[in-house]
Amino acid sequence: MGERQIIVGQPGGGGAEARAEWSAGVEAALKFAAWAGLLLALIGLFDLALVWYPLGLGDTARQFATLATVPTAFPTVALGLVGGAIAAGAAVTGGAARGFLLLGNAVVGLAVLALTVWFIVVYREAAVGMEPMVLSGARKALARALVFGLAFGALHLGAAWWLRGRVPR
Amino acid sequence: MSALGLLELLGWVLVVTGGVDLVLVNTPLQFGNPLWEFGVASQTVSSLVPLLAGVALLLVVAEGRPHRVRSGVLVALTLGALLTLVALGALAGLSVPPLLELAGVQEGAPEAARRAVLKTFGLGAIGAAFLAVCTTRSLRLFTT
Repeated sequence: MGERQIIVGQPGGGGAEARAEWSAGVEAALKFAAWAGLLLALIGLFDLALVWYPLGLGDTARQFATLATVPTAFPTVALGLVGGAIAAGAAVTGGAARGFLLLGNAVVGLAVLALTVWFIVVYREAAVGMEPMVLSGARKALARALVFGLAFGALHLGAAWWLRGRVPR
Repeated sequence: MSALGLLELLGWVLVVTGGVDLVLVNTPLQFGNPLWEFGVASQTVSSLVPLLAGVALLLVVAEGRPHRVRSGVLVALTLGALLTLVALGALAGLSVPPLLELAGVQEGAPEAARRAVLKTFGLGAIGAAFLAVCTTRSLRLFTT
């Protein structure tokens, strides 16, 4: 009683069955992780969309403030989309989630880079006539947007490229 | 690139952007100003989650693909983050009495200040515990 036993699987017997069951479990877990990643990305994108409400496209100061807030949502979106892509790419059968994640990463990667370029354009307009104190804050916001935009944009595009090679044709 | 490689890249992006965010939020330095000193700790723990998620992903990769240099970098990263968090905790602890004194002047402010203190130290303690576990684990990976 209380002694530890080593159970050796028989080839083609209980061991193979257990392995097959384990593989099926891993496959189901990876598919679940892919869908969970998509859901997490949707939460992040919803948060990002709310930043834009109400839309004030004509107002440079408002555009600047909105675009400076946008990078805050990038980590959540990346954890969802890239994490989901890794799970979908590691699964043997991709399913619908793989297609959504491939498209999602490509679109979000391009959108992140486009938002970064837009922020640079808006910064150049907004910085004219700023007080030195406000300008220092604006420069920090620009540096943050550049680092976040380039890093997350490249990450999403890299994830889309990586997943593209794993889509069954 | 393998799945673990992409996971490592995601981890590094989260760690680097999280680190840059913390540095930008907390500059310029204003040591001696209790409001700024407490604000540094408060803002750091509020934006700590992506950085901790990145550290966790890097640890997962180090577990799955053991490598001495990778483990060494992870030890330096987790230990550095843990010591920074402890130092910020000490700085925030010293700035609490003058902060509460300042808040006592305005009506309703002491409650908000107490909530902020509780949130900062609660989240900071959880973050520090998480980093301590990651440091121990990465040290074990480095030494084996």
